[in-house]
Amino acid sequence: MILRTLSIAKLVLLKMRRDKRSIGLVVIAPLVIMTLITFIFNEKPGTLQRVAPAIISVFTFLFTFLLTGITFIRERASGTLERIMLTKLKAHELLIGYFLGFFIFALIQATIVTTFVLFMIDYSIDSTLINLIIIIFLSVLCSVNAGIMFSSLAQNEFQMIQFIPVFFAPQIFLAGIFVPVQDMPRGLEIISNFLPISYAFNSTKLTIINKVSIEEIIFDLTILFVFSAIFIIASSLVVNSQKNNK
Amino acid sequence: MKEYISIKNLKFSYTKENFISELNIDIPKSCSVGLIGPSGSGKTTIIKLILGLLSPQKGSIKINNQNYSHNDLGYMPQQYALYEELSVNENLEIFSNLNNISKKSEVRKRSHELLNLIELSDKAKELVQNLSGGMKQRLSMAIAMINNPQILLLDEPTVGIDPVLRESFWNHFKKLNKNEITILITSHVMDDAMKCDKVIFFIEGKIVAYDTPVNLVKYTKTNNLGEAFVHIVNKGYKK
Repeated sequence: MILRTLSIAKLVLLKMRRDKRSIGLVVIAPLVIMTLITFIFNEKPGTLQRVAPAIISVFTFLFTFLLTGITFIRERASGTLERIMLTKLKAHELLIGYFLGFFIFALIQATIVTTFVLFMIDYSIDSTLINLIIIIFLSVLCSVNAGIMFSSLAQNEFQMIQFIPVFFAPQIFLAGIFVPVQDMPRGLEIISNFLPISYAFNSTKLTIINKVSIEEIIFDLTILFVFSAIFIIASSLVVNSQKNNK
Repeated sequence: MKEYISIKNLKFSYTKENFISELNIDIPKSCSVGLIGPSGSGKTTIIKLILGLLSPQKGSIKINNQNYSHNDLGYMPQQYALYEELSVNENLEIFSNLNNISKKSEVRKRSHELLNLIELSDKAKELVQNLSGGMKQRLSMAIAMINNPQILLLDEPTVGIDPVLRESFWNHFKKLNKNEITILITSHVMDDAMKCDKVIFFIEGKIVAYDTPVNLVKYTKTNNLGEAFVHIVNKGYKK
């Protein structure tokens, strides 16, 4: 099992390493966006404090979601997914391998974004950094599997991009970034409770602004874990359906 | 000869219309059987049903009279299905590992054997994206054989391959048959069909003839398999 899982992780890393343009985008895209954000909010530290947690949670989700989703669509379109699923590889090994492979790239992106943000808000490194690492880990776990799940609904890369307005835009508006969740109409507040970014955003905000201990964000982390589990199950079904293409 | 792959009363359709119904095929062990028919006749569907990539609505597929696992099968799809960003060696290594071939020395030995067979030893370190179509086809074939399968399912394996290499492939297939490997090969090339031990003429989800190439020509009183195919399509097949 370990050999097969590590082979998939190695495969993801090799593919990404050889794809120099994608590697460039993995590093450059967050750098460009974060530089832009620095210039925009440099004169308005108050606003920056408010948007910093949103930037970390939204970009960590978005980059990983797109990276995984598009790679998986390519796997399906080229026939390699079908082929590897005819080996001794199991669905969960594929998913863990993908997670391990992409986690490294997601971590690079999350590190760039987070370092920028923390630097901009003069965050002093202390024990709450552990909270942040756990939040990022769970966010990546969640978005890798969400990417795989949504890739099954898209037939090509273009359609995958279309999931940004469908899947992400409502989350950004309803996560409490612009208007606190409790100030939203009741209906929207309920919807917000069913969106993973709401919990990623809230826990990041409490961590970097309020400097809370892990106990105080344990509920958000648990819900993020539950979302991850749901997406893992859904993406396992997607992979298995590839094996039994019914 | 005793049947090895046994397809009984198979029914499958993509839409509400019946595509394949009441299909029965018995394939003997250690044979090369050609599934020959025009595009869209259902050849790839049969392969995918045997692989378990599609599920039949009715009927059964058994190997050696029992249910089977994918581990007994080697599959070469119509599209290359290779990792283009990886080298030839890396592709072979990944697929070896995914088939539980873990020892580096074993992976190297197997890769070396297969690269010799497909005559790509000098391209071992080349990225797949830099190979020609024919080379990719050959690598895809090598990957199908990497797990030493008992049954090889080859979907249009000789497309894009020059006649000399095609001949060497067929020599290897015959060697595999001698080693008790059963090969089911789809093609619309009659040259391939002639080299098979038995040929299934398959049209619109139905078998119109299943016999040795020699018999197909003999009983249709034609000069070659191509003519035999046209004869059978128009007048049916009677021994």
